[in-house]
Amino acid sequence: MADATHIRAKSPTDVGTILSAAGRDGTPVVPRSSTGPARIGRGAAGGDEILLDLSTLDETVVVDRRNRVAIVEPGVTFAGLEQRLEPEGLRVTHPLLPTPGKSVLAAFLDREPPLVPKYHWDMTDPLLCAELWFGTGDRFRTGGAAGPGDTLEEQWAAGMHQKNPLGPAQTDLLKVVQGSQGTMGVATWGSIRLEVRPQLTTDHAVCADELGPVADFVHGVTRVRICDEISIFDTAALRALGQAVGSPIEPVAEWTALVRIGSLPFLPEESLEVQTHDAAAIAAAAGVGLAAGSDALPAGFLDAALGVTSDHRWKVPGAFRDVFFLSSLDTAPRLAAIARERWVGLGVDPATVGTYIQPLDQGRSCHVEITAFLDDSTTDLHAGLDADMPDLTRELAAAGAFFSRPAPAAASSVYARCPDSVRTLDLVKTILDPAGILAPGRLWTRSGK
Amino acid sequence: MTDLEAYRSDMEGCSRCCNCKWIPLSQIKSRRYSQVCPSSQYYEFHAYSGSGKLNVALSTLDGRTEFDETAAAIMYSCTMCGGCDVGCKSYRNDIDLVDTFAAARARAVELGHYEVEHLLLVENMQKQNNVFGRAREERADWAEGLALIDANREEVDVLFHVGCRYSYDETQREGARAAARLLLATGLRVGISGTAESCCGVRAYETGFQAELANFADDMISRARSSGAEYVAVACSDCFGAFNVTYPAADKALPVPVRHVTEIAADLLDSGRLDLRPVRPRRVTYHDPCNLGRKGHDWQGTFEGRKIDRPDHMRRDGRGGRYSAPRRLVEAIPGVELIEMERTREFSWCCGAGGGCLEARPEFAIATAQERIEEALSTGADAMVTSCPWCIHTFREGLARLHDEGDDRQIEILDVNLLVTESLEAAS
Amino acid sequence: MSAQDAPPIGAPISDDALAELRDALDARRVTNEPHILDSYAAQPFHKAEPGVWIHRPIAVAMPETTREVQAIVAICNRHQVRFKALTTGWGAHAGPGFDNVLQVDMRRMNRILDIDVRNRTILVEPYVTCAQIQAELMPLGLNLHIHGAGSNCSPLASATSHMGMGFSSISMGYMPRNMLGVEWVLPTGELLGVGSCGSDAGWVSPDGPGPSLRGILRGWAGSDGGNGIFTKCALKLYPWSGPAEIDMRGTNPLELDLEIPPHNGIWLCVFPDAERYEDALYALGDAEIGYLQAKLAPGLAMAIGQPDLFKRVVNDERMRATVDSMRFEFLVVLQGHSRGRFEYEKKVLEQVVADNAGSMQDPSLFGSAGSLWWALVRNSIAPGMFRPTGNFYSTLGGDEAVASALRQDLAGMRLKEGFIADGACADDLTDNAHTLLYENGQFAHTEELVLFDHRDPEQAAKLKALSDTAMRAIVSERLGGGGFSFFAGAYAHDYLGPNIDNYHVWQRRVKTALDLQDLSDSKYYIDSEKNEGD
Repeated sequence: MADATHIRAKSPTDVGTILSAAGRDGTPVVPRSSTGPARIGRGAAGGDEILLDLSTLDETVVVDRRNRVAIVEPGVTFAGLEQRLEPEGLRVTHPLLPTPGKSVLAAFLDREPPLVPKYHWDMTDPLLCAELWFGTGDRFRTGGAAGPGDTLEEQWAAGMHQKNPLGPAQTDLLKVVQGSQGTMGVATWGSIRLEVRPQLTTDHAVCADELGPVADFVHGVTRVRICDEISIFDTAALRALGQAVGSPIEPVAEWTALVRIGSLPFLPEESLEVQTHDAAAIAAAAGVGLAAGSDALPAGFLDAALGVTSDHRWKVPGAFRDVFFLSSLDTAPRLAAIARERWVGLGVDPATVGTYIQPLDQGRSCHVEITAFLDDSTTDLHAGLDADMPDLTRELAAAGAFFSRPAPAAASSVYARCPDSVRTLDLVKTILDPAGILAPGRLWTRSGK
Repeated sequence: MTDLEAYRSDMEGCSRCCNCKWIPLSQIKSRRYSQVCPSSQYYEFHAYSGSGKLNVALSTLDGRTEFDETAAAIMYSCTMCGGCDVGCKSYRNDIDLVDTFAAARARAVELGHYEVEHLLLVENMQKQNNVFGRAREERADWAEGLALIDANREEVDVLFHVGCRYSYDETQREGARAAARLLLATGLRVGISGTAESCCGVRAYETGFQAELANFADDMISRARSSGAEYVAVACSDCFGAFNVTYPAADKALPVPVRHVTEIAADLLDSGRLDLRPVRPRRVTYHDPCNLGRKGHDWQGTFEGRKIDRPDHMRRDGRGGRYSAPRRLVEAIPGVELIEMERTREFSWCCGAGGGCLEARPEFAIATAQERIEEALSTGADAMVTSCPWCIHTFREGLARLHDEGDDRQIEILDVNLLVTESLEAAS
Repeated sequence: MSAQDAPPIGAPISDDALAELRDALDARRVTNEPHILDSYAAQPFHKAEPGVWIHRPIAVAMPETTREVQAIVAICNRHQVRFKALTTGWGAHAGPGFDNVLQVDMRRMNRILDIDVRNRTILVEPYVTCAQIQAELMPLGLNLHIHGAGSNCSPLASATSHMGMGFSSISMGYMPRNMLGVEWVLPTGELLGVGSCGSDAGWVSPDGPGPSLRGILRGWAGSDGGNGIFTKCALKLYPWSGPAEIDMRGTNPLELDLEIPPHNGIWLCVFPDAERYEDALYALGDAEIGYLQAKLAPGLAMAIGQPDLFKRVVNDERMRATVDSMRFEFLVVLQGHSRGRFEYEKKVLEQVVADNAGSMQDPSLFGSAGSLWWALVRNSIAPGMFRPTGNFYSTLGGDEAVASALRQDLAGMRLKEGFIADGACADDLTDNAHTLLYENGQFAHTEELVLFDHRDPEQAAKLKALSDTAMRAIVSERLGGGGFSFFAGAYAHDYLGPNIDNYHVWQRRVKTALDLQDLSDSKYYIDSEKNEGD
């Protein structure tokens, strides 16, 4: 495949100009915000396409402590944003070990799973509002950012801080663009919901050989919204995580929930004490212990594993294979077993297959990510797994997995399950991208195309 | 008040919040037993709810529709139980639903759109002074052998008005006699009017034949006055509602207070004059009759002016119904455990008999009774006790129908006065 | 009959169409009896037009399954009949917006289909009310977000079709963000599962695969019937740390006899001025405490709870000043899942109030503490809005940051002063803002409530002008978004849209794509491009 035309956007209005021109010419446009190797199947642009590089738009437009919000352009990375937030006593809830070049905006446009379930009120969080550009070349600002007030400055002066994540009015086009992997629109900035950074934290681990008791614990604490970061790993995934952060860890049980409890802004010591006490009681009721991090984890483990500033990669670019989806926490092990068995059947060493479960939506569901932690020496195996991906996806979906963020390689299997949705997506695509220039064919195939 | 136009503000005021369909929101304890309006539950279309009937009546006033047989039929598909009024008055001081329905029914009669069954009922009342058309000479047969004074001949302390159902329904005579025995236990001179007693007239009033009320009320007023009684006692809740509310609202207040037998018996209990002994153990649930309960809330007078300005204390929202006396009696009987249904007191479900439905909408009435039986059964009760012969009759009909349909669940339908006298007799 | 042969939209329904409806449903559940139809045409609430009546539906159909709903919509498409679904149906937006609309009464679809206790999710049909659900959930240790209209209303309708703020927003969010999936009969009659349910993957997500169709189902506001019919909805549930059942007597929500259970409490927090009130709201959000919270304006609270006293207060300058001094306030209910958590939250609340020179007062002005606590938990208080004058109207209401909400409050008061002076509404002490926090204060809602009586000819006649004045102020003073003006229909969109990034253009395109014929009654949504400007 010939290289795509690489265009760096110099300003948001550039994006509109480029899309307008591409629309006239019928030239496909693939937007890209992050830099460096993609972790999860970013679509490649081909020779007759424009690769619209948004990473040059890298301004953090505002960080607002009082309103707990930041506005970031696509090129702002988690590490970059973190540097701006820490002095303000704020934080962004981020996905697990974002790559150094990972765009904050792209991550949340793709609904990547953040680590703190209690702050995940909706699947769209923490993305609030955005400046969007459609395939028509039109600009549209969503949610509270739509106005009234033509500029951000005018809105700020009126007390509006791009905090309403819905609308405007009776449609919500950011929701259509979010998850669309560039097929419905391009964002040139987004407002991100922030949280107050805890003054104090304690680290813990909850371990058991069956997921059940760990799940009981997670259900218990997320139900009452205590504990901050909560992520669950099986042994292989935890080992891989340890290696990635340079802190080897030998799991003591098949399943480990890494738990960090953070203080709340008022009476921090007491808030930590109360949360820890309640979390311990919930753990005890679940038949597991809330082990102190100092006992159960290598020193500094969670600082590294939950951070954004390091150069850690827990998956070797190009070598690993993974499959991820949403499910209920209790269903996750059964679904993970399907992937594991299938991959083992294709020759993967079972010791290299790991499962990471990220509770979402305040614990009502979870992101399940099953990874074959392979290296570059297994090319044939890669080909086999790649060829099998559509079938694996079909089998998992039939067993209840929901591929809310389908990887392009398996998208046809995913969309085959929801023809009604596809018909409706076609209608929406016709509105937002009538010429069909935005990442064509990346997710579903339009009827008649 | 018979003038439907006088209720325009009530009709126009309805915001359609539909709290007339539900028991008060604060009190909802399950999805299953959350509705309060039998008509809305049975007929479903909004027109049959409290709000809907206001809309239908307003539509006719505004000339959008005719007040024809259909409008009348909607008005008559209602037990006039007042459940809607309680839900509404949880929030509103300016809408009187049942009064509006009554005015609409009066309008139906004016226009000749009454129900034939209701006309028969009124003719019975006119001819024989009772709703059944039974011979007026038989009216006092129930009292045979009781030491009751003939109030037509001598003065009494208490005039016991028995009512049509107790007088003529042979299956309920023991209930009437039990009530009489409780009254006699006061030691006061208790009398009855015997064959001179007339129907209270409320059934004619609520079916739209409002003019009929005056004769019956005047007769009752006359007998109450001439008897010298300190108060009138009733065992029938419909009669209680008539004397306590309908009469004064029609400017025909009795010259003496009216008391329900359960109130009198509860006073005896409180003063230690009822020696209650253990009865056959059973779990009992109590059904609040509409006219003793929410609709028995004392008449508060007519407010002259815009109802939106009506003082809060004039709001008849059912708080003043008679709820505690029958419960105190039941709870005091050794061996009896009182279990409440979800829908109790002001927001009790109706038995289905009222508003002329037993006569003109029997299927609806029976379905309404069966809904209550279902609720009573859900408590695990062995018996449903109540203090109105109309409720007892309708529940027994509903239960019998269930049995006919192969449902063999059992629950005793019992008069509270009989339960008390059973306990007293166990004592003797 | 094909759509091409059908009569024009808005024409009376044909006998054939009625016959088809009666064939598709039990014939007893279809009616065109005028009296019954008029009971669906009496809607004096939530509209700017005067009077009781809206358009009389041409017929009413009462489906009991999704399949029947689809059949109804298909018949409407064949015969070019507009349709409008109604659940609990409180307000003109629930009724026909045009002549000759088929009203689809959803009351037979009244089941709770599933409660998933572990994953805190419930699946409901349209005619289940919040009070019914809450009653079923409390024994399970769960609760649901009850939207502002009150627990007599359908949460499905709120989540899919209208708004959805409420006292519990501080801990349970905004109703459309509580949605986990929807079964949707599109305006064409096709069935669509939104989110994971559309892929037979349960009710774990309302979004995806890929783009979320939630974005065309609704926005900040719903389409109020302009976008098909919703037949099932999964909603998030939240913890309830109280008894399975509340033991109480009484019916008036502010006159109940009950005790507040352990680990629960209610306080009225009053601040001396606007600045400290605003600071306190921001601090409360930062603190991550609170189970329920809202400002219930003191005048309004008194008008609902003690109407006779309120009538005296209005006419007494000294008493007015006393009540008005409590203007900068909010009610807050704390509920702890443990004693420790409750005590912690109480201490934090005390600190937030003290830091901002406020006071924590007995809420007896509003009603007994127990009554008020339960009234907020059950949200049984909303219909009380009608007690003082018989009706009310909401203005402004754009959700945004706390600062925006409080600017709207002040603007609302200024507007209200003019309305009162003009005789367009009742004197409610002017301040009648209903301000509340969402999701630990991450954003805020407010609305300026206007008490009036639609039976008063002067007030009824002036309501439309009042509504338009408020709408224009949204633009001229940048008051946080279109708020309740969004529901004024196409003309409002065409006014607001150019000032809110031309949203109306996109909204109209969505409507057109889903419902070119404009059959799903768009009075409270937007007309399709086909009918634009008609």
